[in-house]
Amino acid sequence: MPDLNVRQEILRHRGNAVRAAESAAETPHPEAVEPVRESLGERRVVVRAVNLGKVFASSFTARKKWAVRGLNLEVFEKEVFGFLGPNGAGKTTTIKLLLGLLRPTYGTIEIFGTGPANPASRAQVGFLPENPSFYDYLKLGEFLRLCAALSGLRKRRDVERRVAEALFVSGLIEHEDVQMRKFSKGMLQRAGLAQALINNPRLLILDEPMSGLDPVGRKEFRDSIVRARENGMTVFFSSHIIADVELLCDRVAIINNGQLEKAGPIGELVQEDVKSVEVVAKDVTENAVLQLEPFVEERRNVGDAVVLRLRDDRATTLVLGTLASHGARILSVTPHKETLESVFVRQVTRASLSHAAEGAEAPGGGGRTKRGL
Amino acid sequence: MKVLAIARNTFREALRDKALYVLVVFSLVLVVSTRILSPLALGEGVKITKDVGLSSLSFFGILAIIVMGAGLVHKEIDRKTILVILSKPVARHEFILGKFLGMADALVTLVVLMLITLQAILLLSGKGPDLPVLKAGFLTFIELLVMTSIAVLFSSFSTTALSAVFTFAFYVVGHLSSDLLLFAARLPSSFARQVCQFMYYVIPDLELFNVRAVVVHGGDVPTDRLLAATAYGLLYTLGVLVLAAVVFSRKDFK
Repeated sequence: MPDLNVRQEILRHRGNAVRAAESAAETPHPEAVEPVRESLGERRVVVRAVNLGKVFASSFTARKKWAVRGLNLEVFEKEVFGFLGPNGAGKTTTIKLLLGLLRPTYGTIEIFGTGPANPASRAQVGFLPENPSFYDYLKLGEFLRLCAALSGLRKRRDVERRVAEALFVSGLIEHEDVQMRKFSKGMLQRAGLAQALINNPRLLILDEPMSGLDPVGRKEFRDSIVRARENGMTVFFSSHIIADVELLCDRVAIINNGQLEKAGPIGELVQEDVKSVEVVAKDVTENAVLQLEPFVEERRNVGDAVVLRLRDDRATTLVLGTLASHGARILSVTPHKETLESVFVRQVTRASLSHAAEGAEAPGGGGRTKRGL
Repeated sequence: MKVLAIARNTFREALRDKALYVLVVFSLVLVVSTRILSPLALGEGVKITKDVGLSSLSFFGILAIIVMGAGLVHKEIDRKTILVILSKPVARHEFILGKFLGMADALVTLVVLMLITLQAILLLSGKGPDLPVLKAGFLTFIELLVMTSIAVLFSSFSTTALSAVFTFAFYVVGHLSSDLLLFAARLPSSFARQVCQFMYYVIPDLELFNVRAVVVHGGDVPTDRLLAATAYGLLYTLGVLVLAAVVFSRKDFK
């Protein structure tokens, strides 16, 4: 059953992914398109979660549901960290645990070396909740000033400077005096970004920041994340939209059923080498096809064009040369790589199958101390 | 500083809530109307004005607490605005204290407006200014603070509707709680006596704040009564707020 849900989920988002890729292709933002893959070297750890577990127990039925179990997580300074998983995987629970909004059943968390039980751990953190809602009776400016005061800004001059900056970054300057009940979904999301940036945080935590936004809004939000990273912030964001994660993140963690399936730099998760090459050509003679037989895995005719799938990308040059010498017109050459999407689908479906096999009740892994059950 | 920011925001919410205006206007109309009706009162007009004025202070105050105070904390959880506040470097007890102070601020506004109106009417009748009425008003305000803390406590762990019911129940029982001691004295079993006495100390004794009977008939409020009731009210409020903070700081926000 979960298997089926995941598949539907992925099918639904495949459309989104294609649209996002298209809109990204139109916008020449080298940073956004090509994730920087630096060596992690000796970078400081900003977020560390060790063997994190959270169980939600219903007080009436005594049924327990493990939202997160045995999660280990490290986020380094100045990286964009993508937290990828299907709906209900435990992304939001993990984020709430990091922020001290939920208390872990077991395990430890450190944000800049401080536990979430201490409010000071959030002094340099900005957070945008999923589908945020704010005080709708407040004007945006009033709300941002409230947030500035809650972040510990005392001097009026500091508050005004930060409010102006947040308004500028979120593109809401002209809406400062508008009551937030009149805001659209996209504007609310931007207001949420503004309040998250109000304390000029070193760590920005975004929960599904792009869900429910139109393509333009998503593009703007991606740019904001890139800008935050350029300003030296660490960005931790959760998403179930693979294209966004692939475009933006230095490192990715895939979570499913409350457990970490895989984590690492995108380059490590996704095998870079080309798996196959597709050549589309017109006016291909039979002679040429016969000559290329040993290199071609599959041959299809689409209209008056021929699609050749090659076994090995090293043969591409040879094949193209042969086709050209036989007077064929090359329409396209497409190398097929493994995508993050295929890694994600593989991980999630495999995990769901094994979970279904072992039964959903087992909390997994022995030797854990369980508190507060 | 953060506490004050939360308090200011709560006060602002109360101001932009139409309910508060309705309550203020209603109570003022009620007080003013006693003046208009005084010719029918056979010379007792001033007494009626004082009585109705002070009673409606208590009544509309508790109504404001039930309408706004009962949802004070739970509404923030319900609308998820709590996620934004508590993801800032704000401690849970600061939030509770801020909410309480904001509501108290709204009640100050209500009480001050009422007392000014009442004094103005008494002045117009040639009977003012009346200091005992101010003292009685002050004690009513302390009573409202006690009830606000109770509303905050219930609101921090139950829904708006439930905490409204609980708060009102406490208000009613609180006015009868001194009967518990009388009742206890007549009980045969010592266990039942102890239960009654325990209940008396848990439930606030709101009759301590009620000096209307004396004030309406022109008497003054003894200073020791005023001080004792104030000290009792503030200590009770503090205790309930500490409890609310403890409950709230253990809460998970799913």
